[in-house]
Amino acid sequence: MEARGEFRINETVYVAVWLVLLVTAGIEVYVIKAGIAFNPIVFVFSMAMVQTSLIALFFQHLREEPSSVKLLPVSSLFMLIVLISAAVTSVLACTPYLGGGGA
Amino acid sequence: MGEDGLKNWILRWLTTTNHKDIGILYIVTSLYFFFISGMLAMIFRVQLAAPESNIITGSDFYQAVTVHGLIMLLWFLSPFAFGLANYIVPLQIGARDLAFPRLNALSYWLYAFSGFLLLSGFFVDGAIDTGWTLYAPLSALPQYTTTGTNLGILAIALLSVSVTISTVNFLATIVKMRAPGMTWTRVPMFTWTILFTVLMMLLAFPPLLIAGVLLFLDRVIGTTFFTSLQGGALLWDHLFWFFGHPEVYILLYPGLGILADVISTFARRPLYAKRFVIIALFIAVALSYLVWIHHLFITGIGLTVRKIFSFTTAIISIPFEMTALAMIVTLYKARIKYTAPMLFSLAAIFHFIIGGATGVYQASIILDKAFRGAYWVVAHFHYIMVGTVLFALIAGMYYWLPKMTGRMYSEKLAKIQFVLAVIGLNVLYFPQFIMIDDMPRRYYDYLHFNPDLKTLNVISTIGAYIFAASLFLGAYILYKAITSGPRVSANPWGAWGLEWTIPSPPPRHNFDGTPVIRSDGSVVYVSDREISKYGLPAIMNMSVPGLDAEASGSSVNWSRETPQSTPGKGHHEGSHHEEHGSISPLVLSLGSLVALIGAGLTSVPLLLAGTIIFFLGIGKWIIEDIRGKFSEPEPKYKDDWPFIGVDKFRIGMWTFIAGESFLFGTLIGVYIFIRSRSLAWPPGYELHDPMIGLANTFILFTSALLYGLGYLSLRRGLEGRAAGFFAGTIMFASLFMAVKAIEWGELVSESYTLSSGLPLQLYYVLTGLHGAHVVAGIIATAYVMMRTLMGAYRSSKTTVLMVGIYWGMVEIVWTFLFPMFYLI
Repeated sequence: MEARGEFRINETVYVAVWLVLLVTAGIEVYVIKAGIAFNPIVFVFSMAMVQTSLIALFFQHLREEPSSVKLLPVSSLFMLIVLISAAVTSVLACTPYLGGGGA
Repeated sequence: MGEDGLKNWILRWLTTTNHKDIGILYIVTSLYFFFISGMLAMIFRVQLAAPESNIITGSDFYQAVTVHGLIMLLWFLSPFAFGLANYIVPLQIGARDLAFPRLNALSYWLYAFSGFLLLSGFFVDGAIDTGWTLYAPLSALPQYTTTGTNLGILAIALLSVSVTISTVNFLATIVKMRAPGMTWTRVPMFTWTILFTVLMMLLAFPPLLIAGVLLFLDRVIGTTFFTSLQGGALLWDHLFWFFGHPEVYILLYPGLGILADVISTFARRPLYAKRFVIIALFIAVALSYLVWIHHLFITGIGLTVRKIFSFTTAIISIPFEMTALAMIVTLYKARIKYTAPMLFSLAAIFHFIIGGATGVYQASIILDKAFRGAYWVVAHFHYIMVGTVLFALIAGMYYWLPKMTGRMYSEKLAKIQFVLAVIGLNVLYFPQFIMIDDMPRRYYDYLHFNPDLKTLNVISTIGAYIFAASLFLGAYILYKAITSGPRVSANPWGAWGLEWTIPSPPPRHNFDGTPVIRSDGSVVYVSDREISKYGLPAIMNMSVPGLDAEASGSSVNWSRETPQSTPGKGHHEGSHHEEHGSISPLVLSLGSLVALIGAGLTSVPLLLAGTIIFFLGIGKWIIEDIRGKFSEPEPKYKDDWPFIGVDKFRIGMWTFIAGESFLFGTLIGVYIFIRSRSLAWPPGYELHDPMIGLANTFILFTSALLYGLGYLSLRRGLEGRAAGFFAGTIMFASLFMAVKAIEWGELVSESYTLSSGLPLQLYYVLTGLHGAHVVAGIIATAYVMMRTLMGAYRSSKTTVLMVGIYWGMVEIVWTFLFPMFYLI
């Protein structure tokens, strides 16, 4: 980091991001407990993506990194989505098995 | 060699972190594994030639083919290529070492011990015997497989860790440590292909590691990831082949890079359409992740997905056809020198065309059904792995041997070896194409259903022995060359490239002064003083008159038609490189080996002993850090576009984070996969209290905030305050772990264990792995806090930032785990 000069982030930004993270986590719990999410799985994963973006951009300073560095986690995320989507889609045509969960 | 001399010699090889030493260690170790694996092949080929004689039992046969396959793919071909890469890549790009020399040593020792771990299976009731694809559910059932299978699975997991470390190192080296003027278009093809290889490794190995860990848990703890209907064979197939298919290209790429460099040298001209070849290979890297499902065509997965992957499998052949074509066009009307490396390269292209063409059939869903599990696939695969990759590696060995040893091999004997190898290989594998789909794989006795196959198998076995003879001859040639071969100049081939501008063998520090590649392609070696005096742009633009005479090194023209071989001379000024030895990589890896043998054999004393040795290694590592022994600085002058201004540590850390994210992402994918195949799944809030989860989320977020505040305080020079914030981070993270421990304890006391169904199995594995990362973060923060109080970060805060990025990753993972296990 020293080579590029230090990141411009300050305490206020850190605290603001932290507050947003706390609030969004609270919203997640409220929405799920109240049963008002149209699709709970999509909702919680969307919220997780928002929190991930905040942490990566501010706590990990990705916002101020050059595009070449941003590309590393972004491409990793993209390939992960491909893996999961293709794997899950490939078995959607198959009949789900009963009683799989049961704790 | 006296007693002291011998002691120093042994100590040097056990503690070295020099890239050339590590390269030699990789090459020698991989050849040892190659020998073992080759011997196993010789044994089962005899069994296949005379199945009625039952030279080995069925169980022995399965162990032999499994270990043979695993070693050849994971412990020989790639490591041998990376041995060459360790030695050659820094020389090709003008670096003094890899970016992280001690990590390089750690990669090597982990690799070597992982191989011993695999082979240790032969000393219990049998080595791993599942086939190299470890297909579940058979591999998940200990009652049907050997104890050595446990050890083999853990060996694969340990190797995955070694590979990830290597990936970080090579990526940071190639993007950050190129000499001034070593632009991307000037980077040799071998280095390009190593870069592409590590990009593929980065995302391919985490799924393998996860698959291995889950499989081990199924076998030892009794989880049901691969024995349940929701996970089962399909889950294994997805995880394994998401690694397995890119792995084919991981094995192939270094070979292609060698072929390109060798052909270019001995055809006396640049590789035809080099830029297009690079683009084609890059496209193939992306496509390599999009073809794995063709290995699942016969599993009953959705037709649409099969069609899509049939298409992607077919089109991935195009970049490779372009590459082969470019090499062939390079030869057109060229003044070819038929040296041994060139002959092996030409044969490799020929075999690549045969192996490639026969592989395209697998893209067809219909034909794939016919060929699945048949010797057609065995032949296709071996034409690529042996006929292409191994031939290319032999070419590379002969090509760089004079550089590495300063001695020349016997060209006459090498050509005899070449003839034997080509005959042996084709007699060995071509009959297997003729068997088409009549002969199933992994059968040790086929006589009872098709005795006619015996003739072809006998021919194949004769070919195997001819091929083995060629390899033994190769070993003799190497031995003779190293011990008594004639001395060679710096550039015996008249080749193009930085490695040929320095003496053979290269000095420990590689280069005298800083190599600078000028606008006309010539190289000068200049000192820091000269760079300060004239400025790099002026030197590179050749606007400094008389520099050659004044500079510390000689000028070497890279022009194709008139390559010169004058090595750089002059003072070793401007080098920051110092020789360092460290025992910690060896100790740490040894601890891993002992601990994993203990885990595999369920021996608690061994597990504990290994863990203690492991932490001793970690302790030694930290002490070395504190003493600043390994603060290897980046080169002052370099060509590092597009990463200008980003230090190598950040590149390394982000690469590591990408791999780690993929590791957790794969596990989250396993959760989604299993859940999508289950009709019944208890909501998270039924098993766990969401409010406790929320409180723990607040705690973890707060620990990250405190770490950030500590970093900012440190930037302002407030070391005491920074240390206080870091202590707060440790406290909150420890609190997070305490809450987790209480939750786990309550679940276990209510008899919710790892055998209580997949939702809880996933919960324990995912939160357990995450917890391990939190503990690692606590240890790292404690280190940062201690170093802060010692005033170690007054000039550079890179380490503090690295740990901060790591904490960010730990937080991110939890943002997914919390809703997955507490809310939905």
